[in-house]
Amino acid sequence: MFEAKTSKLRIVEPSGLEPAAARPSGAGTGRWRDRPSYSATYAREWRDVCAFLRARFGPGPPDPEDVAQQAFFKLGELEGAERIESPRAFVFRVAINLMLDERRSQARVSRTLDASAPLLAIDSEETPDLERSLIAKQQMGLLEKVVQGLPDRHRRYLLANRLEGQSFVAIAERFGVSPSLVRKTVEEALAVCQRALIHGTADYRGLSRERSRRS
Amino acid sequence: MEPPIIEDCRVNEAVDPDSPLGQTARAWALAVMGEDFPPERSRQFGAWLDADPRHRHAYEQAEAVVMMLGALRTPTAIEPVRRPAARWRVLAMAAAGGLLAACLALAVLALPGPTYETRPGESHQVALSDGSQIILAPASRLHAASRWRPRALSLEHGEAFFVVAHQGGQPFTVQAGDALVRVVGTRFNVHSGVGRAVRVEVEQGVVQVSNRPDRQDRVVTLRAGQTVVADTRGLTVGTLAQADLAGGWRQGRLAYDDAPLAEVVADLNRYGRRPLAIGSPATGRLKVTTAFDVAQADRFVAELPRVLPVRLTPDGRGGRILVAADPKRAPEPHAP
Repeated sequence: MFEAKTSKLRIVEPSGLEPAAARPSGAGTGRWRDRPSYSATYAREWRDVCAFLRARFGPGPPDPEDVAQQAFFKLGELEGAERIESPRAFVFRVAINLMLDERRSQARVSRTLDASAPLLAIDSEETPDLERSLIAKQQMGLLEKVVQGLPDRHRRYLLANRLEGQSFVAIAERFGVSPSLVRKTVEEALAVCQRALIHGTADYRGLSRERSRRS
Repeated sequence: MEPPIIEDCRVNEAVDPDSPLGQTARAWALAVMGEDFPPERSRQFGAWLDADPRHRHAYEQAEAVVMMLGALRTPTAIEPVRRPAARWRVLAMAAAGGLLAACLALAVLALPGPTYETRPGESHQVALSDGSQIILAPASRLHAASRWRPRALSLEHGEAFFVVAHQGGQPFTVQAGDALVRVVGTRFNVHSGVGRAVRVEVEQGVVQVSNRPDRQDRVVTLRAGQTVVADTRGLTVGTLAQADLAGGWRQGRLAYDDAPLAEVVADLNRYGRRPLAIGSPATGRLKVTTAFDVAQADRFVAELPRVLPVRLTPDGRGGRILVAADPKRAPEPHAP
């Protein structure tokens, strides 16, 4: 009789096993903060983000921990359906942007513009002024062209890192190459982008081991 | 788009990215975004930044470009450029390499990811490049969404057990029917049954399952020892008697709790036994609660007529058909 062995599986509601995150009736709770990877990211990256912000931007104001907190909050607010880069990359990127925003508005007040200001005018949340946003738009356009013109390997690794937020090690595993090759490739690609933004035109010299098609 | 003219005189202060300082600054900017950056490293980084105002200046320029790249709009950036052939010559210098790269990228992006398939009766172990392991049950088929996303898998049919490697917080997803399973690193089983029902069992770690993610339906988070059935009625959470019962098929154990007979029969057929068919949908809907060893499957089938209102008839080709014991009064256990 098979009924004798019935209770291998038992259907029960998960009462009290889980906080709000797991409550099945919590309609449409697709937010990142409800995901297991959210708390994992938080636990793993919190100290790194704070230490980085402190080294990069000083003790504040704004307080590095406040900014890190805001960045994690933004990660948590994302809808689950939104495809983002890796959570770590998201948090670093948002935290840096928040800091730069803050500094930019401070700079505007004191009327001393940072030397690298035009390059920084990229995030659309606050457009400081028309000219700056125009320059930023032009630079983004140029950058897109430059990236599209990169050799295949350079573009793939660069975008995997910059858009998907994958670490060099992760990219290396994904493409079956060494992390040092990934690092070198992304470095070369970034150098091309930097030169292009300075000179206003693409120049693909200095890329390693690619079928060179230019004179 | 015309090449932009950077008129701003501040750009004159740009640090040459090929100078030693420019290279060091770029290396730092990339390390932050592409490598582990524990607090000790931040301290070294801070010391370098503070050592000379030019360091900070150079770093900020490199970081700015890194940040801009992160803000590229994905479609234009990843999708290759399509241009009319007539413009080939005009674009020769800059675009020849670009077009080639674009074509390669198109090929890479369009390339479907690998597909893993097992025949009835055979199971197969797959090692993914990220270190994850998959044990594919008999007569199952699984594919990666694309080469580009090897951690996004679809279970087309059958069953598979996943041992997911952590990879820098990168999610690992398995789509089965309308259910989407999302994890970071764990061990779990996905069974894609009949009637679009999907069963997920978790042996270790935490797994998130959503039904019809396109409609933002509910999401459940499962811990070790929990299971969920995702079907047209939604998500039904349950518990396993023990967490290590997840994916019991790997030890040849098949267990069902109030499962439709059609699902049991579909599973048995995956193990390459004598083909077994079901005579009518009503018979397929009969509910079964049982656990048995695959090796004992024939005995299980032979005993079915004793526990369910069914009988076995040969199909004339070596297989058998399970039909209602009394065809005039087909059992309708769930109909009023």
